Amino acid sequence: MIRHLIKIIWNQRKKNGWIAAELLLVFVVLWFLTDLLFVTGTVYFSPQGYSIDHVYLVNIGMEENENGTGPDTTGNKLSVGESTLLLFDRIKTCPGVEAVCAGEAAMPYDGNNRYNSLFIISDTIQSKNFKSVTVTPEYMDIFGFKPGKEEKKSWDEMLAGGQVILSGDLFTEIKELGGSRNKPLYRSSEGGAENEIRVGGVTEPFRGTRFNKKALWMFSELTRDDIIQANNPYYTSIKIAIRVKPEADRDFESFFIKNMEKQLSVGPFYLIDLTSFKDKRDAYELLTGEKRETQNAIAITVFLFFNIFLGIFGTFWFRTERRKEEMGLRIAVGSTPGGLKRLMTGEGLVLLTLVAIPGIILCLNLQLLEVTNGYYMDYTASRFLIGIALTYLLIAGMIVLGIWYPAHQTMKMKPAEALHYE
Amino acid sequence: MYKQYFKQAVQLLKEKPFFSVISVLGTALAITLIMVVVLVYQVQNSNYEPEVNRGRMLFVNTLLLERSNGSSYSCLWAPRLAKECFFPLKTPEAVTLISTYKQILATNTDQTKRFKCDQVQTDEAFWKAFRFRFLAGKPFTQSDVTGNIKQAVLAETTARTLFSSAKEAIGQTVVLARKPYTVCGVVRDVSPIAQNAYAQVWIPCPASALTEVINEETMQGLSGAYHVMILARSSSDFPTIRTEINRQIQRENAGLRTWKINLLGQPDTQFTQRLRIWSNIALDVTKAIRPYLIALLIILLVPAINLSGLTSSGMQARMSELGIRKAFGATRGMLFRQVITENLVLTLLGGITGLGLSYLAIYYLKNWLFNSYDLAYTNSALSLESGMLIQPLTFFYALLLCLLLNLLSAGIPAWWASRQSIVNSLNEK
Repeated sequence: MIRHLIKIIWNQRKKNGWIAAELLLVFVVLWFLTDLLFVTGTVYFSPQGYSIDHVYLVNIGMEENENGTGPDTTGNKLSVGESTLLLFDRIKTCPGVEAVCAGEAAMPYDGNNRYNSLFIISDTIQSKNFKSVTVTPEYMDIFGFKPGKEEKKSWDEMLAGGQVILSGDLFTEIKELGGSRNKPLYRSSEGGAENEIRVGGVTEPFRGTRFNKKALWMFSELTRDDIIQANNPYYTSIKIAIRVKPEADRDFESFFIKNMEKQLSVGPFYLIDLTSFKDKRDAYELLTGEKRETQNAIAITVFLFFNIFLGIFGTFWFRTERRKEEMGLRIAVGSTPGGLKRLMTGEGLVLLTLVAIPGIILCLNLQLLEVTNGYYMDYTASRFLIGIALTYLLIAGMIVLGIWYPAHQTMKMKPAEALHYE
Repeated sequence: MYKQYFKQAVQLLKEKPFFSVISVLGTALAITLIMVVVLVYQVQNSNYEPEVNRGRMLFVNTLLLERSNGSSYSCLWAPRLAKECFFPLKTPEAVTLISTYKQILATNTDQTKRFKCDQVQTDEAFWKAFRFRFLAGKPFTQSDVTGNIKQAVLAETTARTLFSSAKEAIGQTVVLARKPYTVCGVVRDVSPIAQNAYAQVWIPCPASALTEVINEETMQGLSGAYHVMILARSSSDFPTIRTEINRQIQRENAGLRTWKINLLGQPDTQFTQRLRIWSNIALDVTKAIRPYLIALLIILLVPAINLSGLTSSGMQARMSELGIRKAFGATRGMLFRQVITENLVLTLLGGITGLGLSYLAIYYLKNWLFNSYDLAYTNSALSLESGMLIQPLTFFYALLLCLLLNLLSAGIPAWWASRQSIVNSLNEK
């Protein structure tokens, strides 16, 4: 039957030329969009490696001095650092709070990032950039980070004595550059014992945000002394996060405010409210615009989808209308109604397949030229094949739907009527 | 004669309901999309309360400080520097300073009611540049600013939450970030979409900030958290104002030792300020709007081509009828007009559906369409008001769009159909 269909298509090649061109254009554009959505979706939905469930950021406000240039220190006996530490200790006492942690440039989805470089010194000097995160040890459990498979120590032990914890991906990349757990890392390219970074542990790989493939983080300890000495809240901005017991996490914010408001009025600080990290994540994704770009791509895809459907539907409908005599003839010489339907749908699909061949070549070129998104996923063969398969299925689906109605109408015709259609 | 066409068009609709529905839907899709773009543009650029003067306002949001050794520092304005550069201007009607919004806690004096809100610091000219609806009381004045008198204007929701009603709030003490202020006015809530004027609490900017000493090492007096907004008497004054600003900046630069101010092409109009993404390079307006124009063109052309295909296929069926008309004396022009007019009925139906759908789309998709980097941390939800959406020009644009689409989608088939010879048309079946 396929040879028969190809013959029919070739016989009417002039008319089919336009449809073929339209299908080719549609194929390439739709592949581009499906590929984009596929890679974005893969990254977005893969496991994060840490968890923000039931975790809240404690929003602490600060009373400013007259000029608005710093905290109001009149009448306060406690320094800013001492006040922060007192807040930290008091929050722990609130019922329902499972754990409290503090961090500097450490809270996820905060927009507050600190970057630094480390150096691997052997025959050559290699450097690696990382995000520097300074936290109290409870942070690791509150956000559900997992220690690497071979790690035996607790988080406290890993961070003790000035040691650092590397994120899984950072450690992998260090190994690729020739480093290992036994070889020291340095903060400066000059090396030396005073610049040495001692690694206390490694985490399982995780992703910083939903739109990142990996995270290159280094965790170091924020000690109680560090907190007391941090006296400039504009520069050091230590933030406090809590994890709430799941059974207590119902309307917890108003409960917390009612219980803790007076106790957390310490020094220049006062309690504003709690923000769940889910809300922070939504705001952050808005800030970076990544979510918006994806939503734009989805909107364009939906728009094109409707237009393509309209185009295919209209085209095939009128083609079918104009071939009523031919269909009548076929019925008259014995074709079954089902057979007719299959013939018409088959014709559309064969046309699509014929068009898909140059289409695949065009798309392959686009991928090899790296026109499509290379950030979320590498340019692999499986990615290409999945994209082509999805595109083909989508257009095939539209063709089948677009032919269904007119084919259905034709099927209902009586042969004699159809023959009279001239 | 047009009545004839209209009747015929309606008859056609009834004869081929399926074709008509597809046609109307296709048109509605195209119109919805373009009207959404038009409405979004309208919301971001036309005048409505409280930003009723957008057409005659200029904005200087950021500044770039450059050093002779090549390094630069981009920041917002400190009140002292803004005062030196912009207050002496003679052409504008008003110049105002507005800080970026900051989340603070507002409570009543006995701390029984609390409300987290967005606070902004500004001056008297702010109330001239924007027209707020005061439900009670009045705005603070320049003497409040210079005299450091702690007055505050609250938005309606803030006042109602803390004091139970707008009228009752006047004269009461409100504690903002643990400092007491007297409520001097309450205004209707402002949507964050009106980004220039948005806040939930307005307080005067501190007097000391206007007089602090400029220190080029610590950046005191140079870098701060304020935007500058200028109200001109009319938009034709814009070139004069720009020249005056440039002269004033040059004068100021002569007095600075280490840093030089670079405005990077500011002051901006409402339209251009929204295009500016980077604060340390100048804005190329044509380059910035090109992707939007291309997108607009595609949104218009793709459905037009599809509809054109549909119409021309439908035309085939009517060739014999048109042949008869020609045989009875219809000219090419008459046939052309007939086809276009009949198609117009379908297009207008699609247009009305499309316009309705576009309003629905704007309402339900407002978070996607209007949210942006600046609004990521606001406290109030985005709200759309009728003043933003219903402007006299909207319906005119919609009608224009329908006519354009009609011409694009029916023009070529109509022209082609009218040119067929009579015999061919009659024989066509």
